[in-house]
Amino acid sequence: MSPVEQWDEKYRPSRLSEIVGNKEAIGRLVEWVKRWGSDPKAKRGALIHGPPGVGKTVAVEALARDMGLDLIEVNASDDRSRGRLERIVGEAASGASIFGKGRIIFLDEIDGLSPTDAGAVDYIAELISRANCPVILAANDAWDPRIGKIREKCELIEFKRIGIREAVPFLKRIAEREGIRADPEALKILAERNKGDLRAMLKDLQVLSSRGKAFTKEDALRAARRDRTDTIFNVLKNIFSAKSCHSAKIAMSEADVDHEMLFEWIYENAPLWLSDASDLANGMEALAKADLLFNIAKREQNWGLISYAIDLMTAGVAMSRERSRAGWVPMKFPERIALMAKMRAERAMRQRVLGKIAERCHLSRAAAGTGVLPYLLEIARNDPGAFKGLAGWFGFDAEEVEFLKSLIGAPGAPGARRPKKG
Amino acid sequence: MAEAKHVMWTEKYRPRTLDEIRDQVEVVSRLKKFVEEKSMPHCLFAGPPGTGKTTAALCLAHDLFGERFMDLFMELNASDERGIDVIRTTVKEFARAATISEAPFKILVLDEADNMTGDAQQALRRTMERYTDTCRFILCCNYSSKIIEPIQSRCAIFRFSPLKEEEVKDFLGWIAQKEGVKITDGGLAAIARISEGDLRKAINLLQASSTLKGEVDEDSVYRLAGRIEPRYAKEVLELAMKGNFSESRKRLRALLLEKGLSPLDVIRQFHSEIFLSELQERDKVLLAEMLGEADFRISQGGDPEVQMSAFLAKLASLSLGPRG
Repeated sequence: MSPVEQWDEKYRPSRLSEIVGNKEAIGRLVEWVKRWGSDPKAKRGALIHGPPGVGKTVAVEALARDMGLDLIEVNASDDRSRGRLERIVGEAASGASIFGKGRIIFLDEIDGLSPTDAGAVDYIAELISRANCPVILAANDAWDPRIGKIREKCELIEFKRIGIREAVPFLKRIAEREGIRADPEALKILAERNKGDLRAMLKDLQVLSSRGKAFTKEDALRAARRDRTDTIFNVLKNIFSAKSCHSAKIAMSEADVDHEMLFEWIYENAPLWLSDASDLANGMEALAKADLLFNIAKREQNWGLISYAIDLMTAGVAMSRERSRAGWVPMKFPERIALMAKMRAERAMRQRVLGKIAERCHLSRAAAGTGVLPYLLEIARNDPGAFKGLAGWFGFDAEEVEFLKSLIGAPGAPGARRPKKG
Repeated sequence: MAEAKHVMWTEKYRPRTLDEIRDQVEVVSRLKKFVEEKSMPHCLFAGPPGTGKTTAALCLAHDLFGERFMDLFMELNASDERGIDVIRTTVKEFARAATISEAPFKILVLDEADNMTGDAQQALRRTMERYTDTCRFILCCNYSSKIIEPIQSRCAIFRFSPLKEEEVKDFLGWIAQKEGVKITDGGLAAIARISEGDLRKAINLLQASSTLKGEVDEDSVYRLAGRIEPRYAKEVLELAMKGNFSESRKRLRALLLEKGLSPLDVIRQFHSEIFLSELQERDKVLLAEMLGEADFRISQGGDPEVQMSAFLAKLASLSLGPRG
């Protein structure tokens, strides 16, 4: 059976006139392209930004088609290390067009540049300055600090969420084309709950109306309870319950998170799905190998390794599932992502404190952490006066003292442990 | 200037001169000869933590150069600054600058030298040779086998042995008396036993016990030590062995992220706990192999938590066997 065509693809606009919403932004973009190169004071690049599903990518594609320009597009699914970018767009930026046609370089999803896309930001900034053709970039978050260098060189064009008044008539047309009797109120709910994300509205409409040929308020309300993480839950469910390598890998392609984040989701939730201990051992081993490959790929810039890592983290985990219980499993957000962010600041503080101890006691910071800090905390717990004196001797400032005090009462700290059973 | 009332006793009672060092008799007598001759070779001080390596280096410098020895002395911690860059810049600069006073050379101490990367050690080898006229190196390490041979062959080697329980007890007794710590003989013996010849650990334990209420005895020392150095790894392993992988991973996560333990320390603890456990002998070998694999993968850039989790999941499956 061939897969059902996704409506967001089926009804993807190919001309600017077909695009719903953001008329003003699109007008500005067209003007900018037309005037490109003629006004020395104008910005050399354009950065279009806005939430997902509001038509940023389709606008650029349609613009190229309407204006008869070649479009050279690079998005987050491409390897965007400096070397690769040079190969893909470098030539296009410098040479004249073979067919005498103008062209546009389009770098989509640039706020998704990963740290592995080494040197990419610098290169893109350079590219914008010296390209012989307009360079358009798209991002969800134009204020992402990582792309500051790029932003400076760009005209900023904001794409806004699609308003209900524009979205509902559009949804209505689609519903009619698909032979669905849609309650206008239901479409309104759908539009409201998807907060201006037209693509998500289409996806919901397709999923919720696929069985019957009617679309009611109740249907729309079912969509209302879903949120962004729902997609990831479904992706996980499909990966964990896949019966073949193929379906496990396909499931991954539906995720709207990058592979590193998906890894974290799988790694967090594997113990819940692999209820059998030996299934879990096999699954965790597959994940450990995937992790190693990801890291080597990153370090050596050997991107070919990533595909094996993805095999292991999807198919490898799915195939580990032999004896585990079937059935519904609750899933949770990767806890360590949140924890790592929280701990980053704390780690810096910890290093500061350990640095002072290390200097005073002729030790490395690591040795200060295991050989002095726990004793110091014990002293602080028993005798605040002595701790105060020692803090002065070590030269801790107020902030450092507060930090150390917080460690005394930290959960899981020695002394705060529950007594063992039996 | 009045001495601060509260200081770490390890520093307060750290010997200042070779004469003040009570233990490591043989090492000290050889070092004293250097002082008499006003000359010394490059040295390698090898021995477990808390046996006086850094102290000996400080005392040697003091006895050679007098009170103002810090001008001619530099201490670098190779664990914190172990890259080749430090060897090529900081070390080289210090080593190459000629001495201003009448002292014939300077001393550079590289602590925890066994944590230096291989290429940093290679770089060091040439530096040691080139600047031997102006600078003598003292390398301190736990394991001399981790120091590359060409460096070993350029050094006089001194082995520091763990202090005997009696020696530790004597030293502690002396400090306890000076500080007015109320501690029983059993308490002192317990500290000496727990610290396993590591005098720094022993003194830190004594200082921590001095803040307890009332007289310190054997029992309170053990409770204190348990609070200070809980066997974290044991807990994590026990949870995995009971088949509770999720909770075990959660504790591991807390150790790495919240307590900030180094992954290598945790792996090392796992390693010793495996062989103390009641697992089947065959399984202990299997787990040691897996742990070695995890250690290796972490050294290759693998994520510590992910790699150790694979090990814990395996442990959980072994202890339970296939579920019926």
